Amino acid sequence: MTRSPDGPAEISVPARLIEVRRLAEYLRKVCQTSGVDEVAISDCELALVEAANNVAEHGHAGRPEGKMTLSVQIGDGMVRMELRDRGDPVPEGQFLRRGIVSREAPRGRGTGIIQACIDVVDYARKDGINRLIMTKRLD
Amino acid sequence: MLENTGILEVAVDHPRLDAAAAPAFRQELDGLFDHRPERVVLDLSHVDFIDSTGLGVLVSMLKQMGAKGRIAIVGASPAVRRLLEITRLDTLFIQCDSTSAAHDPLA
Repeated sequence: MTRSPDGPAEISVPARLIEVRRLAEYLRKVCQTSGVDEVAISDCELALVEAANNVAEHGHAGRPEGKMTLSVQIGDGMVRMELRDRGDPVPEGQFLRRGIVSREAPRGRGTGIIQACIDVVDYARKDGINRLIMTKRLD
Repeated sequence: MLENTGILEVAVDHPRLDAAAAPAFRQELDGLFDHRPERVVLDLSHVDFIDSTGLGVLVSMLKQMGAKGRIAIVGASPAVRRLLEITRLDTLFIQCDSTSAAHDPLA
């Protein structure tokens, strides 16, 4: 874990489901230290967990040696989370569409949850690195 | 986890029902659902966090109970209630303040 005086707080963990909660705990700690309210923290935590689950389950399926890195920056009335990994790319348009999920469907709610919890979601892949940036306004 | 007359009462003791915990939780519930109960009270007062995978286990459980199956959730934290609202599953599960209060809507 690292944190420069003015830069983002950052943590890297193996890209496995069991490690996702470490990212969530870290995010909570950073947000609490900065005085972010509990409702916003819960939304950020839920979105982060859904995104990181996706990285571990799909981006790194069958390749447990990969890692994922979370950077958190709080300021200007917003929480900015950046999740980076070198796994498989996210399908094009994944974070733009919100499919209709049957109430009885056991899966397929992750993207919708991220969109509901986060104000701006931006995904890009460059030089083999996936970057998912999730920004939550604190107003 | 314990059973009462006619209604299965399940106290969930996983503080985080996430993708990592879901397989074990699923296995625990499978053991309890052998006799296919139609009415279940799920006490989530010790659950701080649920993600979509944990929620998926609850949805699967309800599906497994068949058309007459009903689940009442008690003790949901604000974070869990928020998740149910976001996913619109607050209309699928009955929400109550206590286990005793859940018996009437399940009757």
